[in-house]
Amino acid sequence: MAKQITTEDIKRIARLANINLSPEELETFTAQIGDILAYVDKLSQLDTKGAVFKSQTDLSNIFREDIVEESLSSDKATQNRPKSSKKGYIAIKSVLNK
Amino acid sequence: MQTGLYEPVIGLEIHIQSKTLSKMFCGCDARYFQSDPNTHTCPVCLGLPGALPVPNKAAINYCVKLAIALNCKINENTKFDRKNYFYPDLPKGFQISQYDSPIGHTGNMEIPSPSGNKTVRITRVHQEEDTGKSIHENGETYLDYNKSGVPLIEVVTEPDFNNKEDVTTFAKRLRQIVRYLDISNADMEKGEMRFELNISVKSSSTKELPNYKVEVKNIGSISVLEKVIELEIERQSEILESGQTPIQETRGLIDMSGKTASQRTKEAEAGYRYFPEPDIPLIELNKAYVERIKAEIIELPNEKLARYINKLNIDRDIAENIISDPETYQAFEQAISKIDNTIVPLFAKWYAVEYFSLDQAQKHNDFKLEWLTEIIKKVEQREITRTSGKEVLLASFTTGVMPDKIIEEKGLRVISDSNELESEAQRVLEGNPKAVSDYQKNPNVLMFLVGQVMKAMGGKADVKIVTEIVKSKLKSNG
Ligand SMILES: [Zn+2]
Repeated sequence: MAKQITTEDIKRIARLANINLSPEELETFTAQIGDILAYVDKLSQLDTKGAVFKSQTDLSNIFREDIVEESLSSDKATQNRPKSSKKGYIAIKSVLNK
Repeated sequence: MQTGLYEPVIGLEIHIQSKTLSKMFCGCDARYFQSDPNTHTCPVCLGLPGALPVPNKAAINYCVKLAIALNCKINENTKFDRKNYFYPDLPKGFQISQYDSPIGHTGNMEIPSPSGNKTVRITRVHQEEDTGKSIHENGETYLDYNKSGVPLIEVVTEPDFNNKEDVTTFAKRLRQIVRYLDISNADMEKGEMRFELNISVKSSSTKELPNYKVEVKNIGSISVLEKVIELEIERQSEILESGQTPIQETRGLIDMSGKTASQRTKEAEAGYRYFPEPDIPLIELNKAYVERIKAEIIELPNEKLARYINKLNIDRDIAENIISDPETYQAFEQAISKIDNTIVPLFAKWYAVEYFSLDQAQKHNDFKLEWLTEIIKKVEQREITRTSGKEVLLASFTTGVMPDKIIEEKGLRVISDSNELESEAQRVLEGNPKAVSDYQKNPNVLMFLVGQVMKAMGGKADVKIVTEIVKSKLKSNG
């Protein structure tokens, strides 16, 4: 039995996902996500007793050897980021403003 | 604080950086310490779209090794999961970690404690990746992703500690274990070992766990960990004393004094929305593999300590000192492999007390630890005094000259020629008639006169023989 999705649930999910929703959007998504979950809930009718968790692929144990490869240059690594007054760093608005 | 009335309930989470060459999921150099910012990055560890993480085999081996060393059960089928949260030092918006099938679980570690050995239960040992580094300055936050994606092993304990001493012992033992296993340097000054503390306080008379828990994150050293525990016990006891319950919260360090402040952040909401990492196939750790890793595990600190105490007859404190790190015990074991078993306890004592007190920076290249054996033998056979022994050790250590030669050059050989000692004692007694006549009333005079003889001999006489001689002379004089 799926739990009824409320606007509070959607608010929380939006907050965790760092998304701002307008009151209208909140309305819309509450209804839409509720419908989607109700539809997906059909899956719970399946008898999954004895089923084994399968991954997305039949592959397993794909590793790399512990070998150092060349990294990007600092210029290249930071080229699409805001310019920083501190050399080599990526600068953003302080996250300590609370 | 009202000790006895309240006691803490403490659990630990410890993060340990593995000493792999490359990062956890990409080939960037994992040895980032003191490198220029953002010079060890690639699309994978920068979290750029389309990048594919591939687990580092050595890192997995290290994590399995630690899990086995902590007596954990190994999950034959394990996987990575995404732990989702937003913070600028986490460029992907999620950390690749492990959720419901950690590499190891349900283990334990035994620690010595004043009231006998204690067992600390290990909840889990899992593999994850480190985040980048953020620096907060000039109203901005600066990011360096060199550390992003460095392999990190997380060890979680059950809330089995009820005092800070046991926490310290555990933390030190764990550091020793990872160094013995050679999977991490666990250098706290470089942030290679970090602690998270879960602490609550309860009345000593109840067995029930408290209904709240305070979490303190990002503790970078054992001494700060101790201070935080002290201050939290005090703070929480006071709240309980006033009839209230401390708030369940996450607290952050303010400074190295161990002071913390409440961190009311969004993270407290803990909606990590874990789900299986779709880019990394499952990992199977079969029995043969686990056995192979197990076979690589050498004698660990607890076993070594027991062997030193029980088989080699070394005092516990001395043994603890010698096993403290691989370099120290390796040098010791190499040196004692060439010497007689009976002298080992004495060698251990000299090694842990006298040798450790030497300034290692002054060590001469030609100095050999085996020379300490010769010095000890000479002291035991009373060829040189204990004080001379220390002098010889220091000289050999700094100059690389063999002990025998130093004893010769400095003329340190003890004078055991009783004629010479007798005549010196006679001279001293004759020179101190008052002391001699006081002897009956004041037995302390004996030590004074012995001291005078020793002084006259330049300290190079056997103090026991001198005492006997002076004593018998005083008797015959009286
Ligand atoms: Zn990388």
